[in-house]
Amino acid sequence: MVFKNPCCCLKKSRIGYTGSSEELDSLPTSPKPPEEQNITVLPVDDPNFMTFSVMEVLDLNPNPNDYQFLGVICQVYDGSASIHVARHIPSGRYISIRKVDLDMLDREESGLSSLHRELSLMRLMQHDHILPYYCAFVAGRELWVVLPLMEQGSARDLLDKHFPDGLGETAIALILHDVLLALDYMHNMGYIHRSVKASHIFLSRSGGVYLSGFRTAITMIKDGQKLRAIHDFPADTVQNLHWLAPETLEQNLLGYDTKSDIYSLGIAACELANGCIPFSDMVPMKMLLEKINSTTPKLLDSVTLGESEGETTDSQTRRDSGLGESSYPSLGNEPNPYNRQFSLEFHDFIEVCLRHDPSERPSAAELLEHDFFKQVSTKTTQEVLCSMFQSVKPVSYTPCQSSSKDVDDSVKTLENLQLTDEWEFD
Amino acid sequence: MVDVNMLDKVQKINPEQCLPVGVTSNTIISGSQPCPLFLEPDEFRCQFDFFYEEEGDGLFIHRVNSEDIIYSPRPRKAKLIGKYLMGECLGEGSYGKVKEVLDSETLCRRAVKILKQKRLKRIPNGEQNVQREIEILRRLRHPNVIQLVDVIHNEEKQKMYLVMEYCVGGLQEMLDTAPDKKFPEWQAHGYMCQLLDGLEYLHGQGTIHKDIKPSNLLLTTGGVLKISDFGVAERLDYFAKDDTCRTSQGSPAFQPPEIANGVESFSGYKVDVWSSGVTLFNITTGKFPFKGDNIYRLFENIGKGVFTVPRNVPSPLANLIQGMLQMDPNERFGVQEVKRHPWIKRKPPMVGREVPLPPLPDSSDELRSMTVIPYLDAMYNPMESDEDDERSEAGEEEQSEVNNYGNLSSFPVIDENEPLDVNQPNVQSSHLEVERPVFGLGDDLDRNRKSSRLRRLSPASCKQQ
Repeated sequence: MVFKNPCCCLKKSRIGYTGSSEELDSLPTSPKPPEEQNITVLPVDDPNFMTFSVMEVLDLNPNPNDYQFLGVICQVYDGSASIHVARHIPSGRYISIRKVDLDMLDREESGLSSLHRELSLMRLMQHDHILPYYCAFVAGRELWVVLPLMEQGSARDLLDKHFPDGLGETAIALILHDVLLALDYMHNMGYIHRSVKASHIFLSRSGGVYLSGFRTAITMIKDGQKLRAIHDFPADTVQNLHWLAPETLEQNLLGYDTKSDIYSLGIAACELANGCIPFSDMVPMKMLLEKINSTTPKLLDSVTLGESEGETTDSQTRRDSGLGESSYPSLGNEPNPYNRQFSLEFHDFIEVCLRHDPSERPSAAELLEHDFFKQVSTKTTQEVLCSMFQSVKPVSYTPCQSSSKDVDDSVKTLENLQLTDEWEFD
Repeated sequence: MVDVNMLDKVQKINPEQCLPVGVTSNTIISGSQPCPLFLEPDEFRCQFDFFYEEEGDGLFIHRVNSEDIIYSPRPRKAKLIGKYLMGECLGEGSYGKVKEVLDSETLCRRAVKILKQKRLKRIPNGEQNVQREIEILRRLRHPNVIQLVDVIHNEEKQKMYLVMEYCVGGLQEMLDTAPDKKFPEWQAHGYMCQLLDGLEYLHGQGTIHKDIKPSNLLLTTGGVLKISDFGVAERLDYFAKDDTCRTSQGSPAFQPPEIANGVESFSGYKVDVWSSGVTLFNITTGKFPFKGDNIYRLFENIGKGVFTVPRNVPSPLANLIQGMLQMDPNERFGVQEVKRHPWIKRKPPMVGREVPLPPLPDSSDELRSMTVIPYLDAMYNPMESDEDDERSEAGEEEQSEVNNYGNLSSFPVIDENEPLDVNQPNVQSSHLEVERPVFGLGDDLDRNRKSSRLRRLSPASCKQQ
């Protein structure tokens, strides 16, 4: 590996796969106006549009020439990596490729080793709800990781683009159920994920839910023994702080364990339901204080808001106008928090996940038995989500400046050039 | 009049006891009136003795508004150095204090070594040593070597801040509270292996630590050993043929015979092996191989190189200690030989109770939680502990100022202006001008001094959690 540019090393790189842009987290959740025409939506309705099934165990050829790039979905990790839509030429199917600029990797922050750790972990984890990759290879100065194409992007993308006020409860239950299955699997393998959040939950058009974001995952197994607790603080992932459990942030002799993921899941559940990330209006230090003082986020609905603020006339009038507009079950959520009500089971689910004392939080396996998931029948999860996704657009991408076409054009213009002007010599 | 500053003193000395004064103080302690009724006179006398002393002629108790008590400057005031929020003192080196800090962006706990240029100038080679320490630390990166995270200069205050990885405590601290001042064999083995990994790396980088001893071996919350304090370390020249050194300023009890005998040049790596050997001897037996009433006697004994390993030490360990404490540096084990030794290779059975980190001397916190929390509390919830109903103007001002803190960019970057110096002028600096010689257990003395200082600091930390 060559690290040519010393300036690049000063930049903090964020390595790992998130199909969604991390930067979006901090942006206001209002739907963005459609930008210029160079944004293309995935042609999911095109009969020629075919992807690999995620569960197909494929060993695609690590040959850069096998892939035709169609466009960029987003930039991740401070621009050191980008997610592309591409077509696998031999099969004609669509895939996504994460390109990591190896020169941008920060050697000081041991970016390369964390990238390596992430990929080997993704290979190790074989589960229906964990995002796999087909192959990874070095092309030029970049590392290409070929992944299944997630047509709906991440759950965060879904919130940002279509549902700034949160998803409907049924959709959340379906998504979290699958995430918990993945977490239970990871925890049994002795790993802590450490960054469970909406932008690490990926959704395929066919209703598949996949957990990713393994860059921060850490093993609890040392010298062949499972540790009681670990103490490593993920200091280089500032963008995950809002989801971290109080015991992880406290960094004292107690340390933390797999229960810290349950707390993060609770925060992610609030994120999915409310649209906004709990504590996101605070600077990190204030958030730390709130978490240590056992402040717990809540679902924003008429129950919690009624408790804290009481009914205002404004909300009353809005409630009237809102009637009749909601169609249940839909993917989205009633936009006015005063006008919606989540089930008591959902409220309880959030409460048990966000308990301050990790020993009082249920494990992933126990949570799967929670009443909140009674509305989920495992057989139809994928179908229900799939039908829900029909109403929303898939992720969009910025098409490549198709250089070949440009070249063709300029060649043509050159060919058609007619030198009618005569040379003039004075 | 008894001014607010005096009441401030009351708070510092005994915050709990002075609380009733503030709470019931509508008719409070007032000038030339009998003392308030809520305290028995005797009780009062013993609590506020200095009131009498200060006033001299008879009892003067003055009226003080309750606001003055409540809003008098409190010891808990958030201070930021760069992006680091200052916490409590962790200890004192010869060059200055070490405090716990919190990185306000990543929320990672760190430790900062505060160096005052004035003080550095008074120590022979002080500034030079610090520059060298920074140069050396900057190049090092290993799990068992303390990492320098950041260096901040403050030209105006003539101070320098070395931000390092946070460690919860050191081996010395644990030994001090352990029965027989030693670790069970398996625990010592774990530390020794980590020390050797760190040393191997250091020597590979051409760096000689020269001051290996239990008090320079720190532990993280996860129990990872970190070799720290590179104040007297030496980095070999890139083109140096071997590890020949000519100077050593390490702690006397851990110095090898060649230095005790004043040899002009010696092998640097073998110095570290020797002091690691003394460390191993110390943490497994609770004793020192060489003793002396003063530095001359001590060096005389080291120079002879004669010592005895206590009988109860098992033979593989005794053999290793003998190998590391060979008088002749050429016969002494190298780091590689030590690593290959049977005692290192074979993990001893987990017999004997683990010696834990003791709770901090100034609080009963066994978890060693963040000490910055009270400061954070003061920053974001300044009213929390006060009487809610009586918000004075001053209080509101404070509130609005604090609201600005919500936005980090508007943080006033305050330099730490040690409030202690006002009340205890030069107490600690006078201790520190003298480079303390270490004779074996001499560290104990120093430790007591530290803990007494820490106790004085306690008002800020007593509110923790």
